[in-house]
Amino acid sequence: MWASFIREYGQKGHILTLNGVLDEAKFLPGALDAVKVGDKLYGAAYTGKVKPGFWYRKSFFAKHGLTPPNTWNEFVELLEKIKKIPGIKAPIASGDGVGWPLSDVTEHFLISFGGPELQLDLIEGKVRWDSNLVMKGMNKLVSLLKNKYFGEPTEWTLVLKQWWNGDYALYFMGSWITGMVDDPNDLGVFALPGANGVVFGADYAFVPKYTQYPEEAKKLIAWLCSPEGQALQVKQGGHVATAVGIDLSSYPPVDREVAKIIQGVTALPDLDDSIGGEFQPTFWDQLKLLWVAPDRLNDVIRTLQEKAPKK
Amino acid sequence: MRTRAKYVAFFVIPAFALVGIFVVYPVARTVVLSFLDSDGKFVGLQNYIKVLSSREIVNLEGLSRGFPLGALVHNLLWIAIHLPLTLALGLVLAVLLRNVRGGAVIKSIIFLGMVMPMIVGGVMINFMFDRNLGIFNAFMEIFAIPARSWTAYPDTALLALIFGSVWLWVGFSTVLYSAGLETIPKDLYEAAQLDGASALKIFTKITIPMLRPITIVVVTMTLLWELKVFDIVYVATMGGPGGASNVLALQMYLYAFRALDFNRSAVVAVLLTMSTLLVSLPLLRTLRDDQS
Repeated sequence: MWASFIREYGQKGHILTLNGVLDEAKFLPGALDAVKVGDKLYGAAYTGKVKPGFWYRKSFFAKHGLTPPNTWNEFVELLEKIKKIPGIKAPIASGDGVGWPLSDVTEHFLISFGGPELQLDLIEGKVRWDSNLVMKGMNKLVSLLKNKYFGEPTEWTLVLKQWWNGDYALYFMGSWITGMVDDPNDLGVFALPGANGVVFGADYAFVPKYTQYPEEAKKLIAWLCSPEGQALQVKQGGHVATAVGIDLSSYPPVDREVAKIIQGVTALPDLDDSIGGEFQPTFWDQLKLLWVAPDRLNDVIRTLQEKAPKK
Repeated sequence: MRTRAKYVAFFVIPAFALVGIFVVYPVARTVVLSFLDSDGKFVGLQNYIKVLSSREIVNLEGLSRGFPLGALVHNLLWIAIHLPLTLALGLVLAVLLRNVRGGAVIKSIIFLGMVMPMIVGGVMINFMFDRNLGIFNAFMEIFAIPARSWTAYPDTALLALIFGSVWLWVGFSTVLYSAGLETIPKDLYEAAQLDGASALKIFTKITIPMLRPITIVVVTMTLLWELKVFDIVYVATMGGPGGASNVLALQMYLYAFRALDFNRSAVVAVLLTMSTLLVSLPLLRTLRDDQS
């Protein structure tokens, strides 16, 4: 269930609190923030999907002598190298459709250059979209767009195939990509250098006030969230643990790389999913505009500020 | 007499109840909502001023910068381009296919666009103008125009949707005009030919005037469709990029179901209803004249 739903109905008294059921210290930092209101915990993140960064094919990188970057300059150099590879449409594939693939990559830039706090502040409406912190990330993104490092927005499953076939080298996508390609073992992923936070799409459970078996439900949630329960879930593939201390050997090889990336970084809620409402489609739509007309950054920022929550 | 009254009541009351519940009440409620704020307080024309002065509805900056121009202007553009094109194409196709062998089959194929759910039509328009899959780029290649996804750019998104929707809608005008052509008496044409009238003169002086009632129906129905166009835009571009292909019906949906602002949504609904009423008047008047 969506975190915003759990928060809203928790505050209205329809959902039981889980304080005392879960040990919050045993979760990744920030993993439960989206379902907490003050001290009250209304939901439990029992695993999740993560949006770790740019995916690439190891075989493609090996063939062209490419390596994942460690700094921003190395990242730009990598993109320039990729751009020169014959037959490449653009270094980075841009997924389109409703608009969320573009918002995911944009959030990654905001978190990388504005810090994890920026994501939370934007959700809360504590920071303006035209603030220096936001503009720092957006300007970096726009510099790449202007240099045509991103491809034209294309339906996200179609462009996934094109990326896999070598039309593009990099694709920003969530960890569910591992289930969408022919050979997940050929996948590699890296985050933007300096990213201290990662958007974590947690799978939340909650206990409605009206259940006949509240204690049993709480026991189930406690087990699902426990290291033992999460280890069992991640073993199935496609899940990332929200609990700290899950041994990397519990993961299938392809998920292990994702799990490594999120170690030591802050788990953050998705920006537009958390805000929802009118902001979400506006955010997606304005990014579609930015992708094809990066010169209109100021228009985009002004529109986003108009629709953003305000504190 | 009492039995007859009972029968009348038996048949009429359910119909009145249904119309009252599902038409009259929602319409009245929508009109009332458009004058209230979110707390249910009467605010006069404030919602109307807010909506009509918002950049989503009319965006004057677009005049110097380009799209978006606002949903209202986009609807007007839709009418200005789509209406004459569908009218002219429908008439030309109907006349050309009138005496062609297999014309009925061709007309049926053209009409397929109308039979197709508009949601599917929206998906197909998106594909049609896609950089990788679209036939439009193949056509543009002849003129050495570089390929692009036409619905992805603010300057071409709305136009792509409008031209795509001509393909979907032209079957309607073609079929109606075809039916209308069959009603024109043949002796009119024969008399004109005996008088030595040219083909163009016959077309402009006989065919077009005799098709006037059909033209009114086609214009009215097309205008109504253009005013309430939603599904194609929702599926193909969701009004984007950056609102460049947004239309009133989609904005009404966004106000209601994304912003949860039912008052602003009601304003757009009232404006749309008023526009459709205005558009329908000529049709109603023609029907009344025909009856009298």
